[in-house]
Amino acid sequence: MCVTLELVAAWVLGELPVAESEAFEEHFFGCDACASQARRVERLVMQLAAALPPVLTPERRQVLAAQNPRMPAIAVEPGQRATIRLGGAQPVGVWVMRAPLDGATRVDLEARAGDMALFALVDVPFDAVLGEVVLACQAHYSALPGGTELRVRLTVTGLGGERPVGEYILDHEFESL
Amino acid sequence: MEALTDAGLVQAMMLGGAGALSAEAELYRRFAPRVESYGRKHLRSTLAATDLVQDVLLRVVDAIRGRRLEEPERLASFVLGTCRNLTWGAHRAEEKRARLAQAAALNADLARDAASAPLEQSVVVQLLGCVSRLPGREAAVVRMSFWEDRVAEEIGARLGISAGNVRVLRHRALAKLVVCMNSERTA
Repeated sequence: MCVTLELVAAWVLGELPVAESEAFEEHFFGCDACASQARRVERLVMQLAAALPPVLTPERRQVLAAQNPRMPAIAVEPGQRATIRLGGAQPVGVWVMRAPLDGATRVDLEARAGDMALFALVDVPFDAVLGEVVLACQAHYSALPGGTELRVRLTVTGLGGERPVGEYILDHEFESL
Repeated sequence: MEALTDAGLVQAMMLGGAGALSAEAELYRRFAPRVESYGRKHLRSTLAATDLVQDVLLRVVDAIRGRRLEEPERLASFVLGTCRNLTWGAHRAEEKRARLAQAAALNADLARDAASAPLEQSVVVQLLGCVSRLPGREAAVVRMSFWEDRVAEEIGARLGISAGNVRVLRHRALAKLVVCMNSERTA
């Protein structure tokens, strides 16, 4: 049987058809390498589930706020600069980026730190009614390259086509962990 | 003991004495992780998977000691068969559930397990770095699956692809992430 890491991932996620899954299991129980790969995929899935997403859905924000009752939420308008302080008793916080999102069908986000492009996310969660995109940050990000100032650009797609909203300058002060 | 074949392990256990104890320890080392993976996949719970490991290996050891394992070279199949027997009811229910629910259900269960073990800083930085290096659509599928709790049909509608393609991209992305996380750890 030719076992690829993709096949192992499909099995771990329970997304193989029953017959393929059973055939894989016949092989898996006699295969040291497959067992090790399955453990790696499981660990990765658990890490993804435990990781703080860069952009939060309203549901994830609620869960995070319940877990961290004193979590700072810093609102920031396009073109503005703001600062968040993290570390010690405040390991996580959120940026609430305000934007005119009425009629928006899609929001894309691009983040840079210094000269470095950190991430470009297509079709991120947003709240059109409140006009908010919520970006999570955590003290762990102090180890990311590029410095503590994050420049974020939002692009909104709606009935009138695609339009840039502007740039948000998000500065971070990290206490030592 | 590590060098022994499965059949060799069974023979050593049947001979008894100190060699049998070492063979049992090797049997556990060899099969416990596989049974646990099987249990996690079919029972959707780390706790239930841990219980399954104990139940299955006790039965396997008992069968070997009682000389009821007729084909020692088929030990791996016997362990799998014991797993299937013990999870039969849950297995049927899981199949039904798998048709109804998708990755979101898996995420919820795994997130509960993961919640008790916050990630270390180095893992967070590695993970974000590896996700950001995925090709655009694969990164989007990972983000929407694991961080936005969206099912394959919804992701497909957003990306303009079928739910089946979403699953293929998800498996491909996970494979790349495993390699990336492993290479960064060993670098």
